[in-house]
Amino acid sequence: MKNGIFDLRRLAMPALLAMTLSACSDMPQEEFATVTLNGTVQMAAGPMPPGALHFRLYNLESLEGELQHALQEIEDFDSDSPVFSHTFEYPLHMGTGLAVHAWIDTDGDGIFCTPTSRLDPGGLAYTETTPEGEVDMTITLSANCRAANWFYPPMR
Amino acid sequence: MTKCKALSVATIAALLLAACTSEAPENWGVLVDDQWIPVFDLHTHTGEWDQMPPGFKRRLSERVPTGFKWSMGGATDWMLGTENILSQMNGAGIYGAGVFALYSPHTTGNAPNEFVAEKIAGHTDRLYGFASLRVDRWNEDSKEQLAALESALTDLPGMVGIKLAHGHQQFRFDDERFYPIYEIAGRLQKPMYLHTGTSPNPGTRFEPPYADPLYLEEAIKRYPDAIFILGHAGYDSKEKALNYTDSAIYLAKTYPNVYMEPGALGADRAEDVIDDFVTRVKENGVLNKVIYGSDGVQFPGYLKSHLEAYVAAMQRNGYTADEMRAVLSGNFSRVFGIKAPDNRAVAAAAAGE
Repeated sequence: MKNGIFDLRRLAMPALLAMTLSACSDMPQEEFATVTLNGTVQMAAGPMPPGALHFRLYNLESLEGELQHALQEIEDFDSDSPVFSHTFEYPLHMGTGLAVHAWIDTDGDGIFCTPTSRLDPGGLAYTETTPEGEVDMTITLSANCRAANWFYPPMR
Repeated sequence: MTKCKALSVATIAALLLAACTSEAPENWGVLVDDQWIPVFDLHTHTGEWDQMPPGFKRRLSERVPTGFKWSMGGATDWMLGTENILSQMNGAGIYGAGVFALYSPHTTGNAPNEFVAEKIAGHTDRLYGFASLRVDRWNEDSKEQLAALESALTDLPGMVGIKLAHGHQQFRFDDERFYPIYEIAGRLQKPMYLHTGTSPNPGTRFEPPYADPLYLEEAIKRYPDAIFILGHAGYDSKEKALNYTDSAIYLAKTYPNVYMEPGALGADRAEDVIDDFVTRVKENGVLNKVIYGSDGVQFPGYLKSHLEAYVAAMQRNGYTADEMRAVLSGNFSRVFGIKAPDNRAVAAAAAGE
């Protein structure tokens, strides 16, 4: 019995030390909120061309200090219809606001423009408000081959 | 610095320094067919834990067992420090190395230009700085960022080139808003290193407009005075495949201002593709466009193990000593105007002759 306690202490000491030192970790605690995005995609001009719609969600602003930056990716999803609803876990620990980038794959190659095929229109909608529950957004596709950072931050 | 961090820095540094410090070798380079071939490593990183975003910290921490993650901050700062870079270079016989600035807050974090200048200070005969710039608020501050880049290239000692990582910095290769960067590179005659292909780092953009160097062709044509070094030569590290390497070879073969760097192709992760890679560049006649780099100093001994793997692959695939010399140092010297010291001259100087 005495030996058993001794062995337990020998195991416990390094474990306790490791646990104590783990408290030094500066990893942020992860925190998520469930959000449902109800959206509509429209063209800035002309009829909407046929093709699958691809979306990417972002924290509009992320992190702090020197690491603060715009547009931190959350996740991607697709839709066959310009009217869509998508539920996702919004990472509160990664930042604030919400941006939604959308583009149409007009040539069906799965790529948002190539050096020789430049007809996939894209656009971005965003809100500085951190989303909660249900959010409604309208995304206007206004420029071919443009990534999210072409639209946000807006031109000074 | 917190007490925890200070404790971990001191402990890890003492342990690792004692275990891993290497003095300068008697001969620089690698011995091939009784010849010493000098080596430059175009691609190494410095940085610090506090300037890394959570996703990247998490990825680095996966390399150590639970209970030891507290040590990552100290270990990372030590690993990316000047003494360790030089020590690993000494251990591998590498005379000189590029050290990259980074502004990738989405993915791998920041290593600002001034920080890099500080890290290479006193060692600019062997450590060559590559300046970079932030691009995440380009619509707001492009003028300021371009001015800061130009200032870093002209005012900070030891800055020989520009580092860009479109996939990490989240800007498309074909976005012409960023072409003024290439104009600066050409005007100031500072070669650009551009990360191509993918990387396993969280937050990296994997789609072709950020990975396939073919999207750079318009910029390459428009700025013939700018030198484009296609980092990783289009290696798709995420898929462990040479998915964009043929694009890199095509560009290097077609345009005099395009070069390639095989960083990370000597890593264990790429062991299934390295022979294919060294064969492709040799058969396509672009060995005069390959500049050796490793993407170090990821862990103790990485620079040496990467170099040994790359040299072994070249030997297995019939490279001549002259071809190996071009890849390991000749092309670097031609592009950057930096030469390695002659081993015989070093020995003679040491002997007081």
